[in-house]
Amino acid sequence: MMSKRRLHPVAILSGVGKELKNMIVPLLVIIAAGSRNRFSWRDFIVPLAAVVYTVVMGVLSWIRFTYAWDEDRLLVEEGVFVRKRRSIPLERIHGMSVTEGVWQRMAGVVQVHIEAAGHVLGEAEVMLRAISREEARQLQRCVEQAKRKAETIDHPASNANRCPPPALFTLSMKEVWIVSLTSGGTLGVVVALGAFLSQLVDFIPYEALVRDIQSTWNGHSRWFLGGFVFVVLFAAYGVAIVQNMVRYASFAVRKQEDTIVITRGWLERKSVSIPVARVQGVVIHENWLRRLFGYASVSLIHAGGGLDGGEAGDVVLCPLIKKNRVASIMQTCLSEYDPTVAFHPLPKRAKSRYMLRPLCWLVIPAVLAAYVERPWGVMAFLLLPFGAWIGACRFHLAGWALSPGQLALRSGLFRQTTTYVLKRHVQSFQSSATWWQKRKRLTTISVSVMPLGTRARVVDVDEANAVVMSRWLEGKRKK
Amino acid sequence: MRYDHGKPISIKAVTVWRLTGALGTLASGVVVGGVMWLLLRFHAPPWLWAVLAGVWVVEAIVWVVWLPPLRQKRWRYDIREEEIDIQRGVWSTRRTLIPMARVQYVDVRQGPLLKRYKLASIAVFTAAAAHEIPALRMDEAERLCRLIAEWAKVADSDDV
Repeated sequence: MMSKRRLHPVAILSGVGKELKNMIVPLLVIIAAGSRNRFSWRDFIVPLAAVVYTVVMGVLSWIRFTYAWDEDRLLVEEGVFVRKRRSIPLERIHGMSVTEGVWQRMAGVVQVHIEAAGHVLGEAEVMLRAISREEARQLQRCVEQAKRKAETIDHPASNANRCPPPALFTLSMKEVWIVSLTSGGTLGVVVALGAFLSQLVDFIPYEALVRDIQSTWNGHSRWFLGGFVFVVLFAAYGVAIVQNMVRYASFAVRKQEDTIVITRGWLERKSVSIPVARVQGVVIHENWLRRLFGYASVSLIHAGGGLDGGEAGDVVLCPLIKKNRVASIMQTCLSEYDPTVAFHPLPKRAKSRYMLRPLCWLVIPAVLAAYVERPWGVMAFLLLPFGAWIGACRFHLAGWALSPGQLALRSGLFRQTTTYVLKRHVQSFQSSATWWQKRKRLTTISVSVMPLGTRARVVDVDEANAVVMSRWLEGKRKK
Repeated sequence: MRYDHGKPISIKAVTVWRLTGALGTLASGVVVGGVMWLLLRFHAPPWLWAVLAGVWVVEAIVWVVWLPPLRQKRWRYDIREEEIDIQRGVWSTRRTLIPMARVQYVDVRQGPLLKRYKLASIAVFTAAAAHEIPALRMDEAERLCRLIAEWAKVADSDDV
């Protein structure tokens, strides 16, 4: 039964390709640094050795990688010099994501990322780089069966002729376009560009460039330079838009029994399945641009690593959704969460603190500006009322809501975040107060759930309310 | 909110913290001394020298004299059947509640300094973070460790 199997050879290509992609910039730098004056064949020895090594290791690790499974467990052996055998009980598999990358598609296979318990130890993730789609489906079925057996629940035998349930949520092409236009991804591209340029520092003569820029600036072509910067930013924005469109094309959410299945992607098709029991919380983001049009996005905090390729424990459920549809989606996908709770505002006496807080870091630059640019810099003080106004808006948006089984916290303005957490998923609850806060009987509360570092926080809640919330967590836990 | 429930940690924590503070300031003293020597070599203005020395003295006073007793005074812990309740902080008072059912495992830790004063600290791990209660009497730490392990097991089997 347990015959060892090997991945499709395209796994070598995708693995080596990924390694090479990471190596290319350092290698270019080495070549450029080594050949200050003129190129000679010596400059290529190190990079060539690195490339050959990578390719050989890629092939070897493919040869040494075998996998197999039966009804109970998945067995993976790997390692070129040090042999590693791992056996994972199938019922312990918590999440699976199936990706069809460009490489995999050429060979008609899929890449399976498996997430099991104990991810903190870093050993519980298995990546099957290239297995046939049929095998992936079989594995998924085995996992489901193993889980059902573990729970000893008799399901009616209706699973035999199962067709995928209808999608609960899809994105139209227009919506994909809006997501891409309004996402904060542009900044990410600019940062990546900056990082890339700083890696090339060895063979771009920055000093000369700066001198050139200065003379250009002093000359008549500052408009030209401004235009250039504008074009670069615009191009970065374009790249971000295309990236997002590729990522979110044909987005669909389905619910198969107790598992939420999210499929998406255009060049790289991906399907992420998360058991509802593993969901630790729901986060609704509303960035200011999207809020203008009444849209929000919903993501799940799930116990485990980055199944979605993003941050650990963060999976996007709906990239863009009309606010009034959020409740119905949440009720069908995650019936235990109640998004319709009414939020309590913060006490009035917290308002001044909220208004002062942005001023703390605005005052010094404003004073500096007023001092340096004597006559007109005084205009900088106009920023202060604006800052106070922003603080006031923040104050009005922040809030909390408590129901017997659930705690919800909301904060933020430009990126307003609402987090819903069930009582039995709370890992710890913290209330803290500085001396200033104590004088006004206010506290900052924060709650943490499973993946490391994920927590929601609201500043300046009434002390009495914080006590209510800690009481809620204390005492006999009954559902 | 009440900020005075629970038990205090060992009074000897003050001594331990004073010692670690002193060691820390000694280490930074070496760095500061090195910088001063360099300044002397390059004929820096004497007021810079004074500022550096002043900063170092303030640091020493804060870490050795002022902070340890305050920290010890503010530390409180309470371990109940259903949750662990920790409170700490000098400037900002933080109170953390950890449901017993969320506790994964407990460590008793003891460095050379703690050992010398017959103290130990316990660290409570949840799936999200570690929470430490520093400087308990050694037998108390052992007892709490066993107690938490016991209660965590019970709470877990009750939990769905």
